[in-house]
Amino acid sequence: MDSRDRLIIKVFLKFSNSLGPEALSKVNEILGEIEASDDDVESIVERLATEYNKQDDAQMKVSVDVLERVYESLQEQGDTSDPDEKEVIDPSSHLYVIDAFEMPCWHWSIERGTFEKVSTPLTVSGSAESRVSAVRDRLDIIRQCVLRNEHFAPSTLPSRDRQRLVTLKSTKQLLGRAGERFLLLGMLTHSKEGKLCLEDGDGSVELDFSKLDEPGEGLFTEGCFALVEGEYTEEGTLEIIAIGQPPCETRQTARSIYGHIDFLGQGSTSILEDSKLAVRVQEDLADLHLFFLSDVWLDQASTFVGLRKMFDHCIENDFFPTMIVMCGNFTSRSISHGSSLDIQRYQDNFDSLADLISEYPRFSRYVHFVFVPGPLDITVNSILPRRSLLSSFTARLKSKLTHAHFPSNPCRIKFFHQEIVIFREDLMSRMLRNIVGVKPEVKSDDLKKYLVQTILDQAHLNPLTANIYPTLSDFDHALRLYPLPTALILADKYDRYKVTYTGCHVFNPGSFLGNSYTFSAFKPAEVNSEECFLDLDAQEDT
Amino acid sequence: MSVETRQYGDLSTQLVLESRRSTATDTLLKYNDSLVRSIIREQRDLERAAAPLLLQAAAAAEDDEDNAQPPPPALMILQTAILRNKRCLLAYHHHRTARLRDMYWTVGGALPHLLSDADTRSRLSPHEADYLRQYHDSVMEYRADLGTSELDIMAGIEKPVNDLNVLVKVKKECGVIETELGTIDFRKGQRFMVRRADIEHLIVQGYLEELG
Repeated sequence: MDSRDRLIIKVFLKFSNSLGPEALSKVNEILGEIEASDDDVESIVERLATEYNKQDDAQMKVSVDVLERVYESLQEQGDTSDPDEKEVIDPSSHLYVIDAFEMPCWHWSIERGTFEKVSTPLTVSGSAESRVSAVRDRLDIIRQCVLRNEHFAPSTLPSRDRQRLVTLKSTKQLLGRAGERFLLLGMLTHSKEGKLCLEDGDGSVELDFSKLDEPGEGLFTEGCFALVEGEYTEEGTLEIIAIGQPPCETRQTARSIYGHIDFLGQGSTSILEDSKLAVRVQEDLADLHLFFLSDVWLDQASTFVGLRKMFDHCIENDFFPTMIVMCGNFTSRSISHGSSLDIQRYQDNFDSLADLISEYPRFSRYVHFVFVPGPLDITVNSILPRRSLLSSFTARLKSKLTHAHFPSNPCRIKFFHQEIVIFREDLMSRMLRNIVGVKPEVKSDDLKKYLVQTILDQAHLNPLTANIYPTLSDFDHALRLYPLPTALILADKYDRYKVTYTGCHVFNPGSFLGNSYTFSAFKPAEVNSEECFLDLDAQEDT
Repeated sequence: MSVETRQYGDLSTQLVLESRRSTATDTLLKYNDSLVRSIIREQRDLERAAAPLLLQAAAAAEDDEDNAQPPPPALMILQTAILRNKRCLLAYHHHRTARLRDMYWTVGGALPHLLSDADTRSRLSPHEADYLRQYHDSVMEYRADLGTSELDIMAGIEKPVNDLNVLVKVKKECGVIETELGTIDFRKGQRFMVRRADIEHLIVQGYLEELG
């Protein structure tokens, strides 16, 4: 053992770390790589050890994997040691596409008042318990938000108007208290007799809408959770005075309480790191864009013309997005029951897309492509969350593109501290089909606002009961929107829109083919999106 | 938490009681986020209640400056409640940070060891985890000034060491470890006579047990 080894051990010992033989040789290797002189060894190893201990998964015994990661990140920083040059961060190293099936399952525990990780392996079939707990989790998460909300929390001051203030009760407390007013939180469902009920964790009560003028803002669907205020009657029904969507909580608030919980399975970051990253994104990556395309119908020739146009346009202006997200459907008509010829054509379309993109080496090499399947695409399952596109269709895309991702629907993108949720579903029509109540005389603009508000308030992408639109119960947490994402893309065949609600930017890029080629460009630095149009009539030029 | 209550400051009494319980049982309890939030809300409510009284008192003082009236008693009560709540909040958080620092020093400053324990982690609020990290950074910075070899400030001071070597028994498997004097393969149940400085941190973190 030479003096250098001894020094390395000593430095790590200072940080209460021990080295195995592999780790020791790794450190030696690193030192050799950067040709450290004997005088520098101590400071270099110390830097390494400091960074190592900042990692979340740092063990007492130094693990080679973590050490390698630390070294890589130090190298990145080291490249910019020149003070004149501004620190360059590679966005790709902070960009993760997260599949719904890889997210850890966190279950809300009432006893402990926090999230608990489910350690049993998750299966597609789910278990009896997970079917129950999936729905209960939806309720409990909304309830803990409501209880924290200032408008619903019990008054802290003992005063005369305390009687007037209604606190959140459970259906269990209704019995024998006819004539009193109650505020309940529960799920809207139909009972066996076909009457509308409110169901919470303890029981259910029939609702009587005769006294209600109009409901609060939002779309009330069967299976959504609503706050209901009303008078309990002798007949055992609740005469509703007011009904509203539960309030939702900003991302910051939720993060300040559950910041240490790693909802995405990509390692949790602390709030302190988050705020540092936020500044960096705003300063250094001000012109970084992500493109979102929806309904990329590959069986229409004009789609290829449009894509070509988009790429040409980017090259002309020397403006390149970091990521291009293409959402399904990748066919304009359903082929799930089609003949083998249809399926062959479907695959050929993907292949020609791969050929088209590979004609633009700047794109095929450096830009990340994400392909999110739509309702009509061929995937393994048809229940949410949906698996990714079948690998046999995407083989050529995979081989031609350097960064191609094929995640599930919905999927999430973690970009620095931001979380972007992408969901391709004809959500507007599905919600409207299952509606039980909405304000009268709503216009299209209101509907868009209501849709966004409902989805975020419900903290769930699919606020419908299991008999209307089932989900895989073990993976229901992948549809959860808590804490609120930074941005939510609700790709829909419905008209395009963008709304910012409680700090969450929600938008629909709309179908790519239409009167013009349309898509959306999302700017993480401003948390805002822009609508982009390319004219159809320029087709002749290309 | 009972809703049927109460007088001003009852909530903060609960909070302080929790600190007492934590000391008595020598455990770190889960950070009571909801209670802290309701106390802060109570503070705001109290302040809102005090604001009109303050205006009233100021107006009364302006009206006749000669014989100055004492502030109304209700205001005094509100202020006392506000100050008491504030004190309780500070006490609670001070108690927690002190406890966290104690935990930090008992494991010999091995922060990853502390934070990787899921049970402890679930009891910390995210801000407390950040606090621990920054505290750790400060300690490390201080330690760097002392050099590598002179002094180990992480070592316990209650039991002064009187021997350079120590007989240890392996309690938790930790595999092959390189020390300054050579490589040791620690397997569960084995005993070793080793140099104390090399494995001090392993004892503190519970991998090894000191014998006799």
